[in-house]
Amino acid sequence: MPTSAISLKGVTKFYGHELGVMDVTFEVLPGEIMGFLGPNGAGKTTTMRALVGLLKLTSGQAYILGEEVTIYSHEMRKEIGYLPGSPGLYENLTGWEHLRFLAKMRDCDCTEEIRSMAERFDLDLHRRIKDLSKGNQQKIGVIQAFMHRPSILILDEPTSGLDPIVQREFSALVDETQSRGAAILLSSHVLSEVEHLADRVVIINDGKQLLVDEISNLKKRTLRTVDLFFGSPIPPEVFSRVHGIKDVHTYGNRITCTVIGAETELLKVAVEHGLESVQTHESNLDEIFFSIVEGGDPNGYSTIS
Amino acid sequence: MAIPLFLKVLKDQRRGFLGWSIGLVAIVSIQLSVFPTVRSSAEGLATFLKNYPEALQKIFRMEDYTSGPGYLSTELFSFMLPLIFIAVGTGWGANATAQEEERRTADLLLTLPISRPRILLTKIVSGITAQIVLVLILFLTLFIGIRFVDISLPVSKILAGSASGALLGVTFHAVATLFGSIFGKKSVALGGAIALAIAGFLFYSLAPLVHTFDRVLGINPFQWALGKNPLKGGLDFGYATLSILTSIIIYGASVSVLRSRDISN
Repeated sequence: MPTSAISLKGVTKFYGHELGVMDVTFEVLPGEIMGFLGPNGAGKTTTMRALVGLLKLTSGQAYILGEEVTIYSHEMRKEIGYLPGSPGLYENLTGWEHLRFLAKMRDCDCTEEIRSMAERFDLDLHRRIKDLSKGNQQKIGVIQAFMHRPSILILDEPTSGLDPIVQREFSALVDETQSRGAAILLSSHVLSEVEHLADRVVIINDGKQLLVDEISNLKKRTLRTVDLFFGSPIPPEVFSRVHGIKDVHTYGNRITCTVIGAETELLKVAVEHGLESVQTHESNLDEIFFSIVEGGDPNGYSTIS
Repeated sequence: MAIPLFLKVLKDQRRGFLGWSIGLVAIVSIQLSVFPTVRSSAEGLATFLKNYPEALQKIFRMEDYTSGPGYLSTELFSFMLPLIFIAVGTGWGANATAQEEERRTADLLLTLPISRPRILLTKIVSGITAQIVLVLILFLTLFIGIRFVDISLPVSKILAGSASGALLGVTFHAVATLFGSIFGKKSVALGGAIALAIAGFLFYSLAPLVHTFDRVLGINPFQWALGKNPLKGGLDFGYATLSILTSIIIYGASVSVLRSRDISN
């Protein structure tokens, strides 16, 4: 089994008496993209800031490439590219000066990487940062996180403020970074983006971890609507004994129902009654996310299947 | 020390520092240019000072006003020059980490593969460098200026006078750095250090009149820097050492606090 690139074990952070996050536990493997989801104030930023050593954990451990992260450790940060949620930039500098400063502090030349990413994102590096739009400032944040080719990327809302074209370019950059073996932890409010990029997701709410799973598993375990088309009308009672379906309705030759888990049994019964075609409407990540966060009972959700 | 950060701090602060330097040269030059008039009116001034309230004479250390060193001590070293050194020191101290936290640049700076103590030590060294450069500017301005107005002062005394400003500047740079490390807010760092400086100055100035203040002069940075009148008596080695050791302890506390606390966002 490969060693985790990022590992959190019972990570808990209180700010005085106020809960930041409690008992967050998950791993990200090399070459894996982990989506990190939750509403505003759920604890995503707290978790990420703890992972880069900005916050002292109340309890639990966080590991980067097997080494425990503390506010005292700094050597491991060579391997980390971190994009804060609201990156503060040196606004009196130009983009080039800003990135060169960070590169020098990392003892990295990075000139080629900076230039090529700036070209890719259509960013003018010679304008003062204070004169740049929010989107262009975000591009500088993205470049500083990727420029030293880190093996771990911790990205807090990386596409915030980016236009769709740049978002697509960013997705391509993330894909390339993943293919060279980097582990990426990425939080985003754009759930379709996470669905497209991530292999697995962690969902947290109110500082507590609700689940961690592969997106494909989540979809399997989520309610789906199925339309069954027959040659002639079929009474809905036929499906009354099928496990895992509900809300069965008949519309002429069509029967609709909602399914949780495998569709095998449903299809077997339908075929016996002359099934001609079937359409399945899968939930997207948005629907899954809302059902989990608003449902408030991740365990109930998990045991549906 | 992180050289790129050191150079960046100097570059970032260059305009403000240039302004204070020009101000310092201007104030010293103007005061020097007035001295010939003061000297030529020595007799009248002596009468005037004789009638000047004794309390004010003590507060402004106005003894020997018509001699070159006495004039410079009263007009420059009792208030204006310490003020400039302290203003520069507190400003640079408050910028050390509190400004980085307030502007959220600390999230990038403190997640680089460089330890927090090394980052802060670099900022401290840059602040001390600014004080040393101010000392050199003041020294050169006095060294050249006194020749034009025929004031006789040994080089060692000019150097001692110039260095006394830096002793105060460095002490309050350390205080502002510590407040910044503790609270992460520039206004608190600046306000706290300036409030302490004002309190120290008042205690020092009123010490000849208030017995209680006089009793605590030994722990007052203004006494350490100015108490022995550096233009006349040079720097007091014991007090200078105490001042430097105090600054080192405060810097050490700053590093220790910043090293072990959460960084705000």
